[in-house]
Amino acid sequence: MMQASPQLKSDLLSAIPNLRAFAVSLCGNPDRADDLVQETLVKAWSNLGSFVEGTNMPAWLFTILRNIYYSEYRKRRREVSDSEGTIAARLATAPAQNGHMDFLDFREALQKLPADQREALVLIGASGMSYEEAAGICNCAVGTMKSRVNRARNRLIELLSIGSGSDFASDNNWQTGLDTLIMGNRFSRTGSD
Amino acid sequence: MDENTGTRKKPRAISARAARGPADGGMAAAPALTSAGSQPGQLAGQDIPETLQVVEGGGAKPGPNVKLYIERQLKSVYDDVLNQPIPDRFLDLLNGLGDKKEGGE
Repeated sequence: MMQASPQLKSDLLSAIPNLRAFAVSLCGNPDRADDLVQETLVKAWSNLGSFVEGTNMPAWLFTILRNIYYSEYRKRRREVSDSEGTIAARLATAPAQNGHMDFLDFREALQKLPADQREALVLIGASGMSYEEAAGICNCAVGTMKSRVNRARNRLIELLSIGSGSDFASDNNWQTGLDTLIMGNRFSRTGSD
Repeated sequence: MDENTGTRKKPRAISARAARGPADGGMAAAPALTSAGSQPGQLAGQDIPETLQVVEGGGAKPGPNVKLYIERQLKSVYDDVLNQPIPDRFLDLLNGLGDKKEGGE
């Protein structure tokens, strides 16, 4: 088929941590995420011919991963959505003790976002992709990406009960919001999805 | 679900520093949180997240503080996976791919 340069291979390798992190954020399940990454690498490898060397390898790989995820997701929606317990149990290597609950709560809240919003937020806010890159990955307009990020952020604020939820608007106290974030969310975890 | 948030009537001082991740030192200031009567059992004995940094100037609506908080948390969740060592399966996979002549088919 083609000779892949060592450079390409090392680019693939160095993209793996980001791919894994992105995959977990997409599907919420670490095992499933690694399967996704594996499929992505295999697919990328067999399609290296379509990659223009010197262009953005991570973005290209993210696109592949995302496409695999969504084509599978349509088939296996039920399994994939089993994120909640699984993720907390498996990935509990959280940043030390400090903020541990926060960390878990936040991760859960993130999984409750609509998929398009979550991926937008993760791409922009965590993966280091630019809006342009993220829009390319998600095959949407830059403006769409921006509005998804905004909606994601607002939704998270709601989910975590921070910020201006109606009750808090008049309180004018950010600390109260945080307080509630810590306590309230912790105990609303049993709530539905 | 919102009844859980009864604590809002009693804002407490959270003076720790930002959700900066694991390496953050300087978080001695949380004890204020543990005092006081919240609902029974709510906080007793729990680890209090100490990493919330309240940046001055927060307002009533989701402003820079909330955004900052979300960004930090988001990064923290993402980096938790990002910083894990690459599992062997992927190293093996790449090695294996390298040896093959042609992909499947």
